Amino acid sequence: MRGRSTSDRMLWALGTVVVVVYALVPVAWLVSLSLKPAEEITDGKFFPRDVTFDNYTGASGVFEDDQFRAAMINSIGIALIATLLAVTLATFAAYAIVRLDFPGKTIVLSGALAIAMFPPVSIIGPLFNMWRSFKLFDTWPGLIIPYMTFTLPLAIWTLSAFFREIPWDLDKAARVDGATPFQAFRRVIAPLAAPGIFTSAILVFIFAWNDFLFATALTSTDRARTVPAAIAFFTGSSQFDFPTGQIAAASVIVTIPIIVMVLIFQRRIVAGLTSGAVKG
Amino acid sequence: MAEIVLDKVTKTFADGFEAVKEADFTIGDGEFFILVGPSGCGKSTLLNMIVGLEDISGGELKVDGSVVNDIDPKDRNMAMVFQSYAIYPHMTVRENMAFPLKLAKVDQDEIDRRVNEAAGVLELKEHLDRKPGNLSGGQRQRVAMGRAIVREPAAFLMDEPLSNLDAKLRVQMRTEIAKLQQRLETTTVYVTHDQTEAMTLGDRVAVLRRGEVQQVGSPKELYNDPANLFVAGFIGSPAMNLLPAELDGDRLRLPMVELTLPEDVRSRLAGRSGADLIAGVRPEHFEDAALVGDKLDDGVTFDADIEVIEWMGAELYAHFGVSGSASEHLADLAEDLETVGMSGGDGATHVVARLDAASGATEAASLPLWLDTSRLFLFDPATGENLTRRAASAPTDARTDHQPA
Ligand SMILES: Nc1ncnc2c1ncn2[C@@H]1O[C@H](COP(=O)(O)OP(=O)(O)O)[C@@H](O)[C@H]1O
Ligand SMILES: [Mg+2]
Repeated sequence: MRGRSTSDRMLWALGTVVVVVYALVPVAWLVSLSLKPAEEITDGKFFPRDVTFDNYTGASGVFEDDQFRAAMINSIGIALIATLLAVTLATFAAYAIVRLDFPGKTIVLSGALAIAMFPPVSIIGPLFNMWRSFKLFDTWPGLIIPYMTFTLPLAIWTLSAFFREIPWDLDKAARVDGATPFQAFRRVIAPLAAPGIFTSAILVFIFAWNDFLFATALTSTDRARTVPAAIAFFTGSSQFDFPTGQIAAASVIVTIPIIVMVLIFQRRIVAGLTSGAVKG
Repeated sequence: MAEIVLDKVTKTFADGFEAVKEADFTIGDGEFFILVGPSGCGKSTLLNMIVGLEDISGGELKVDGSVVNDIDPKDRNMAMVFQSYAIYPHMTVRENMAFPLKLAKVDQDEIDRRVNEAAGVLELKEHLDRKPGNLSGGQRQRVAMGRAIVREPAAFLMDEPLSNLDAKLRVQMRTEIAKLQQRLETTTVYVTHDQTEAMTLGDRVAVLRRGEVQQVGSPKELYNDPANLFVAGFIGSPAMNLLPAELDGDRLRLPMVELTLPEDVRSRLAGRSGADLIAGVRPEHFEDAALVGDKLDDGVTFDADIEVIEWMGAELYAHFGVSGSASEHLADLAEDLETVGMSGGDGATHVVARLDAASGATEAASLPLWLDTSRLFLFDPATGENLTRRAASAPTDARTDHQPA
């Protein structure tokens, strides 16, 4: 930054503020809505006059709602399992693609990319019927499988980019040092690819956590319905009373795990971990 | 401690490229053995086959008598130092050095003892708990060495371990590696493209060119008795002067002088009268005629028009040009030797003479120079074979005499 003029820096600061405000206003609005009592919801004011936590912990608040609590557990469980499986599989797949020379390597990679570009909505119909015959409808695996399908390509691409950055000599050195191929992978390569592993973990988690399409189409009860789908099923205390406050509260809650995930993993996504492997 | 025998070891890559052709020599137990050659000649490939990182396409590799072709690298008990050092960036220096021992399930007390000992030898004690990213190039190089020596392996394999260091550090580490190897007496195979490194470090040296071993021998043998034109041109700095020569009975015509060949050389050249040859003269086999004294009759004297003088203190290099060039025979060689001077197609040849510092040579002046005819090399321009080779008539060991057809 040294050498930049003051006006330059002012412009940068201004740009940053604009972007941050643009991105955060809807979120702030959501938080504000969730803190308003029912009668204030439609008053059009940005700040609530009487801050209340009724929408969270009150009698009709989301925490008292069995449906929401079940959905929360489903969301966390399904997203975590999908992340774990997808990242583990993608790590091995990416390593094989980068390190091994096998026929059809490019086909695997471009096939994976093709899947990522495939519109999920186009397979919802067949999937619905298949899942019913396979008894996967309205189960955790019934959601975990499509989540993995649609996140694996991205995870494989991200991870192969990271693996490509790791000098192959390290792998060779570990083998000469007495490591089996798996030990070399686990003790040398995987730790160095950690930033890539965490990056793809976040991507997979966010996809699974935020998915609405599969969650509404492939579930029917609290057994597997996740939060984004459950929010759509919220009902007010009466037919004429739309539960805006509760929906806002649920939406706020649903963003918290994502923020926590990113904050935890952000510290581990430090690039340049491999600096020092080769000459300086 | 190990004796490594290569029996017609060949490497053919998947694309059909033959990177190593029938390498056939023995690396003695405890020997410091060098593989040297221009870049791309297959040195690393050969080393990787010895350590097990590349499959052997043909021939046999024996360590202490048993064939190891199909043994996994982890079971060969060899330690390798890579050109890139390949130290693990996520581990501290201590963890790096302990890594092979941990894998071998050595107990912790022993690990600590060996790591501390190696750190002491390599002056890394105060850096043991630092990450490699914060170390200087020289320190990283030591860590790589340390990781190799803690294992007490059967052999050390080093692939251009010093080429990433600056010149001064390189010379310093060279001495340290030599001392270390002498102390540990572990069989060492050392790859380098730098002939100076090869000559100063090695007990024996194998010179490679395009995957073929040209000659195996002590540095002295390679220097004094090169098997062919390639070895002659590659070993020595400044390089040997290569001149066109014409044989006429017992007379040899060089561009600057005509001379009578000594008896023993003449007998070996029988039947080649009238042939074009390539003559090789090491720079130190010229001398200022005024300083030669009684040896004057063992050579010939001629006048050279000195162009440039490089004064080195203890000696001086006199550069002069002669008309006539063997460049049509040397183009191929020049490409491999990465020298430009040789193939200068202007019909002239640039010659370097190494003279005593007491010489009165001055730039842009004529100087009578003496050429020691007994040290003259003659090569067959087509095959590159050294026609004046002393060992050629009585090869002592077929392995050290591997010549390309
Ligand atoms: N995996 C490979 N496939 C095909 N050719 C290769 C491969 N690895 C190396 N080579 C070729 O083999 C030759 C020798 O390479 P190398 O042993 O690395 O040379 P150097 O003597 O510089 O260490 C080079 O010409 C190189 O292009
Ligand atoms: Mg090499």
